[in-house]
Amino acid sequence: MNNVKALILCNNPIAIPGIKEFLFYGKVGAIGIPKRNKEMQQILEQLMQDTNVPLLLLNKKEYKTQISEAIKQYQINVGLMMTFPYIITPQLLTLPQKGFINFHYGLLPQCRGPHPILWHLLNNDKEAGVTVHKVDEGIDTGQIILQEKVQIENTDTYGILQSKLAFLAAKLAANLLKILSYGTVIPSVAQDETKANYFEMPVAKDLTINWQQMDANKIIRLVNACNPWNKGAGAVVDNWFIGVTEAEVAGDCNDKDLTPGTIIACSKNEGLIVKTVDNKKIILNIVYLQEGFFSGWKLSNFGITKGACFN
Amino acid sequence: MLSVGILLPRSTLFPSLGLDFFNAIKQYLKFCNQFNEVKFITDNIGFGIEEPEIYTKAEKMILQEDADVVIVFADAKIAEMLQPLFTASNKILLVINFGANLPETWQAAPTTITHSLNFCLHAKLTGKLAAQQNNKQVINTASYYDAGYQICYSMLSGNQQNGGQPLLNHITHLKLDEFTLDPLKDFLNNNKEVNNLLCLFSGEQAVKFYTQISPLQNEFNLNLFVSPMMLDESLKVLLGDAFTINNVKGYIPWHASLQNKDNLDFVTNIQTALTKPVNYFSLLGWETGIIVKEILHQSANGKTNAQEIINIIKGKKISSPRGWIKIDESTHETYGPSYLATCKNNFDINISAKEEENINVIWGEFAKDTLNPAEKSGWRNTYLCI
Repeated sequence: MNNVKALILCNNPIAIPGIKEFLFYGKVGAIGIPKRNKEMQQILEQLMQDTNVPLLLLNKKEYKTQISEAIKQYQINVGLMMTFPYIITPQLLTLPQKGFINFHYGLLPQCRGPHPILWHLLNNDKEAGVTVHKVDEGIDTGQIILQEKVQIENTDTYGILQSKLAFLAAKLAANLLKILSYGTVIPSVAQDETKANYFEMPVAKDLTINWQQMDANKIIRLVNACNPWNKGAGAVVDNWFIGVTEAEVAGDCNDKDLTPGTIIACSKNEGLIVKTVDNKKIILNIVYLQEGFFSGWKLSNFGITKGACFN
Repeated sequence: MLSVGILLPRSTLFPSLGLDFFNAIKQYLKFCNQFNEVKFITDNIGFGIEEPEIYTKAEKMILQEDADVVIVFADAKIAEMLQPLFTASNKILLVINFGANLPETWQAAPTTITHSLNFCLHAKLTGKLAAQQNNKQVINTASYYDAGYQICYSMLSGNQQNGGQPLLNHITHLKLDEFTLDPLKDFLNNNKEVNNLLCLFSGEQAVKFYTQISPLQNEFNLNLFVSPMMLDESLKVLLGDAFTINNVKGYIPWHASLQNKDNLDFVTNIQTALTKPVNYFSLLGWETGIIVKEILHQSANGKTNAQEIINIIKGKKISSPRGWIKIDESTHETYGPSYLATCKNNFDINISAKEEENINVIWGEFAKDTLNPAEKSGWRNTYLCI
């Protein structure tokens, strides 16, 4: 069997199940995170307390030198990136014997970029997944080693999908470890560039409900895509910006003359019901205001009543 | 041309296993005029337990020999080690075994098919059958080796889940010279109301068991509920003409006497071309040939992506000497009918009924069964290293 000693670079709790696989088998030489990420520091310090694995706090100005030194000091022979935000330079790529491998929490090549989970949801994709690929000089462009998919359910929020992918990544981590442990090479295939898409960081418009254009299902997807990390999808009523955290489709709207976005009901008995462009009724179950999270109908306490219109 | 690598094991218990298996694959492909469409590359993996060595040989098949499909005769644990290599390489891994051990997880790997004889499933049905008798009390008796395979767990769980009450676990010595049923006889003498036995033996141990249990059968009015290996017809020759036994029952995946056309073709071809009787190993080989032909057919249609090929052929019911086999869509494991066999007189085996109508439901339930850690076993190369 080959000796495997990994430097794991990460920045998000989604990486934890994958890290645990490597820690369990004693294959981690060091773990590195951006110094500013106190949440990850706390989680990892607890996870690693019974191990001798060092936690490296990397700062943006010196991370290249820190990583280079760690590879030498801890005799690292493979670098694993799991949500690491900094670019690995060509010089760093060559330092570990088996190079760097990235866990991309989305499907490649169709969903490249820093926020694949969000874009899978916003694009109304039927499937998401995790792709394990070799790191090259591009962003998410390296040859694919392993990839597995999961179905996106209509009820999947960003948080639920993130959890599914975190555990899928743990399975792929275990599989990658077998390849690293037993193999002489790491098999991989080139990405199909004709299917490649790169998605940038989302802007406010991407995360705001457009009642004039979005049908009911698309609104539900957007709401789910923003739950919980963005507190909700943006919506504007009476020039007031609120977040819609949780919503569901509640049948057809018979009054087809009503403008999309019109509030059909806003009461404790009926809830907060809004008409959509495809003549459906949506119940906004939970909304986020600066004052806190509320049941949707409680917008009535703030003066929003039946007949008002989201724009 | 399809390039097929085969990693064959050795077996001290069944020395002809590798040869019977490989010859039957070739014979099937000759039978359907596809032999010239396949290039075989073979290698030996000993008793099938050296994981790094097996991985290296599989890797060599893929990287150096450019095999499209690699067939490995191994248990689930070895398959689980190899699957990532095949997924990453987008090559088909065809795992062959008796199904006498259970996988760690039933989750399918994208480019892997496991073709087995589902011995655990049949043993579970046999355990259930014993529990359906008026007398619910049973004795579980097994060889040192068979007791370590999860087929033993399956038979016992099938029994207990249906109201059976095992009173004794009797495990025989690992050395054939020290094989004895004396402790079992002592127990029977003190518990004369118990007459149903769950029995798991194979090869020479099965011969020893039958030889020693035969004189006890009349004395204690014993019913034997046995594992598929104990209904292997090759035992008849070893037991001899004077041997008699009665009240032996068990579920099996196949028997040479089945009258379907595929079985008649199989039996005739193997007996004519190889001049020896068919057995479980040649059945596995013949059916592996059937699956290779399905892959070959997709390959000839221009399909080169392993995942795509498997997605096309899974779920399909394919004719085979068992009647049919099907690659389960969720687990990628093959399964087929289960036949109730009885054995009497001079080891005369008859198929008396089959569970075909319910087998899809039975399989669906069975493939949800996972072991808790306490029930796991270290045995990982069933029927090979004895």
